[in-house]
Amino acid sequence: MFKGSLRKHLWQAMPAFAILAAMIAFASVFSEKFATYANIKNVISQSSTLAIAAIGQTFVLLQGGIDLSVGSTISLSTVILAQVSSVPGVGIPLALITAVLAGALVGLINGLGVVRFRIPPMIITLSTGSLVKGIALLIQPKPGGNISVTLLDILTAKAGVLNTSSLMALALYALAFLTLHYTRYGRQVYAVGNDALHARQSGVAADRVVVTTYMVSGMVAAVAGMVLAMRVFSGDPLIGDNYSMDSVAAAVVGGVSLIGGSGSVLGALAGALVLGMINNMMNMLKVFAYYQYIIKGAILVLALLVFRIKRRARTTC
Amino acid sequence: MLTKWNENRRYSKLPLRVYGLLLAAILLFFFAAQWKVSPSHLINIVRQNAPLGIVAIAQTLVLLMGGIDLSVGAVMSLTNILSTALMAGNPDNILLGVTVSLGFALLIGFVNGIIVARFKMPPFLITMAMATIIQGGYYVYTRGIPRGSLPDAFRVISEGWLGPVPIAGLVWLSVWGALSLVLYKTPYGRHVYITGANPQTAYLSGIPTMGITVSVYMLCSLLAGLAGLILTAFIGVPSTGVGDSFTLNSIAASVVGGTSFVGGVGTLEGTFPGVLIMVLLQSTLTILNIPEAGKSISQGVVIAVMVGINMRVRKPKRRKTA
Repeated sequence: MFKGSLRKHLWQAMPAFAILAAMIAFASVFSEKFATYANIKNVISQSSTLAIAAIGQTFVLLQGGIDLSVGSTISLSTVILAQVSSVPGVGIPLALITAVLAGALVGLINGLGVVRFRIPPMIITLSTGSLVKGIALLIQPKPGGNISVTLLDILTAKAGVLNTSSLMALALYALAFLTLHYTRYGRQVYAVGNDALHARQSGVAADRVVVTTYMVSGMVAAVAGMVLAMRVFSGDPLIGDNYSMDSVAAAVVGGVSLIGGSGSVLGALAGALVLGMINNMMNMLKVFAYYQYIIKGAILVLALLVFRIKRRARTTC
Repeated sequence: MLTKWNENRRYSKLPLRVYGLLLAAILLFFFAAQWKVSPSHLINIVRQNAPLGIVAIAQTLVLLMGGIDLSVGAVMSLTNILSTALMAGNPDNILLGVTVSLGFALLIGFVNGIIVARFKMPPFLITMAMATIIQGGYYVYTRGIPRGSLPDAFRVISEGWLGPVPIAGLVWLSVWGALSLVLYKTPYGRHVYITGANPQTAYLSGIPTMGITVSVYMLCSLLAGLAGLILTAFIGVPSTGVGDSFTLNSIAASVVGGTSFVGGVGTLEGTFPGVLIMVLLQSTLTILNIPEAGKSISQGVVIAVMVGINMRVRKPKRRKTA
């Protein structure tokens, strides 16, 4: 059905889908509560924030970078929503636009830091992550704030097991899949991740590709923040902290390579669902909640070990 | 004297510029405090920031060797919880608490080092995952409610003074002195620099790079454990996540002090003023009434700006994935 490089990239996502299928089978056998309508709805709505954040992370990873500011951008977005969205009249559109623009700005700073100042991606994104967290704390030091109820109604409107948030996630995945595999820009992202020097020599504006992937990541993280804000119905300057690592873990579990250039965004979706399932299964099996930290960390290390990074001598990117 | 110091030290020159920056930070702090600062206040700043000072030295070592350790903050939190739980207010248990906490710290460093060195994994992701695992570990251990207390005898580390010198400051300075000796006067120290500068060449020159990597990660975790114990002596109670902000602060202090992210360049003599600069900057922000947010913002901005400057000054090097 799929040809050439696309088949190869999708093949890398297969283990994640296999794990997901195995987990679903395991959970439905061992807990009769798992396969209920309410629980499946729950898993999907719990996973949608991470699933959305993982899209942006995948863009950045494919290009050969990494974005550790995702978590703080998510927090900032919830805070912006909590502060702006209930202003009467212009509140809702203003909040949504401000949040997405803020995400894009964070991405722009990350991207320029990488291409203009040659700061290693993990360092610049770690720093902007810290900076953005500080700004979120300045805007709203404590969890709370007023989120517009109208917005809540729109974003939690249901359609079967899916609500608006998960439909948004699905739409974003479709868009990302088409962009990465069927447009010139997507091909350039893969090319830069595979070999930035050769991509540049073949006429790819590598710097522009790098900067835009970080901006995509920032904007997508802002959307993930909106979905999260709707779920907890408040703004919280620290709520997103775990999403930086979780989004990397979701992408890596989904077969996206850390050195860039291979893997598919669909793998990230499977990875995000695997991580979401783990939480859910542990609740079902009545495991003490804090074990999830240990398990998530161990999964990231294991996934890294399984998809061993083959280091190549590469010239500067 | 200075030229003698800098002889044969292309990559560990005395970082005079950092001391200039420190002077500026002190002036800024005095200005923000409207000159109502006494000299004893400055000594107290040195005393209270011994934990950061020691963990920054640990981070500098790892950075020199070409790695990074994002789990130092979690190790500090872990030692805080473990040592107080084991001591449980009884002075007889001090030795037990210290040994077990430092033992765990060493084990964590060993695992970090082995995974990074043996499997050639990117250190920032491995240590970040490790930080999450440690965090989960102490949450499971305490069930979310840390218990235990410190015997008063242990608080000598934080409250004690030898004449005009605070003991915490003394510990900091002796760790600095000892590791300076190791770095500049022993083959081991040279190996750390060379491994950081170019791991392949180091390996081909017969340096046991794997052993160096593992031992530096272990040393780093051990020092983070020590910093955690001193921090515990200061705050006196167990509390989850007390070390969290130290991870980025230690990186910021190292980088301000002139340590490079690509490995092989930097000094402990730069890290010392680096720590004080970060602390004074954050104290200034506290005076200006933005403590928490100011801490995050200053860490982020300082790391980004300093690394940006460092990368501009040096010629772009081959990018490293680990």
